Amino acid sequence: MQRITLAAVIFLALLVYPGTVLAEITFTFKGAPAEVRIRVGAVSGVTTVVHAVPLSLSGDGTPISGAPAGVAIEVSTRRETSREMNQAYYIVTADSSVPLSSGLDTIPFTKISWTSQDGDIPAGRFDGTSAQVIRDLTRARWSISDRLTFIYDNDQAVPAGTYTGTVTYTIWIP
Amino acid sequence: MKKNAKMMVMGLVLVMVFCYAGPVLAETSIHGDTASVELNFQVTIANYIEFRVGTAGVTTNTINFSPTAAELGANTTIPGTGGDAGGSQVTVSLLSNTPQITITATNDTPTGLENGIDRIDWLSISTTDVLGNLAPPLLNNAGGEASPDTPLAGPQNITTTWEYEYTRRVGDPIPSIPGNYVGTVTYTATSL
Repeated sequence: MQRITLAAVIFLALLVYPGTVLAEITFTFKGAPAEVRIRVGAVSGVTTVVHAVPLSLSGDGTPISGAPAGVAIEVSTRRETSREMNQAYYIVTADSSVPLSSGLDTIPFTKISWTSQDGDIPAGRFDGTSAQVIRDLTRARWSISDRLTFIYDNDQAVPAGTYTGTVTYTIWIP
Repeated sequence: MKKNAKMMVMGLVLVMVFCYAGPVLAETSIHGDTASVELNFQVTIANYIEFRVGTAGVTTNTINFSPTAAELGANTTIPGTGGDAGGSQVTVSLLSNTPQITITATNDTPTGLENGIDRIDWLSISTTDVLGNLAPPLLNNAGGEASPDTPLAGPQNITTTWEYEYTRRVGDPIPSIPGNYVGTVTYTATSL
């Protein structure tokens, strides 16, 4: 009996002569491809966290929480083998190096901190760098699911305007 | 065999789905060792100007000048009384986050301080910035003088003291009728 190991050939043969070709196929199952996954905010689109500073509190040091509160963050990985799942680690970083801006005026991301619902992503503050580690070495087998609420310090007088900026979160396996 | 063929087709479709690497969005799943997503931030800061001359609140201070006949005759410069900062001085503060701020002085008696019959030119009252933090506008009959010459860039948080003095200017007539000559100056901080 002819042994054919090329799956594509078998597949085409089956399409042409269904039921008339006999073949044996030997599969060596290695597992699904390695994958990393990260989500921050809504499942689709890019979520915007808005800090609206009331006129009466502008610059007086009253912390201003962002809306929405409790922004979801989920991180997970999949390795090709169980051994890799046990041995590999991942890191989550945040790039906040480009400050929020309104025209030529800027607010550094160091003025924004966050609280954590359950500590998977520890509470912290953006440091304004391109690769701030917000979740250190974590075993690949473990998934992270947390909710973060962001807070603007509101402790300085800044020119009026709508300041916008973007933080990029990255999961990577060293 | 047909069943196996269907499974293979499904497998190929799944592989194609997993191989797709989308743009950086709120959720990313990518084959390999790294993936990124974005989160936007927005901070909205409203315009504000908080400006004070004299006592805080709704109180309007009155600076009183009481020159003697000799001082009038000699064109002597004299301070007043009644300022919230003592004597002829008033507290001035400006807190703002708007750009291009100027202070403008207008008055309600465009021919000078009046007693109903006679008048004293507003130019007889000078204003000095004691601490040198915010130049005051010139007082004159027409009003509308602005200061500083170069508008202030925002944000500003200025506190200073202005002092008023009265001098009968050389050439001005001595007020012929004794009495109280009054007028009110309104200062306005404006973002151009």
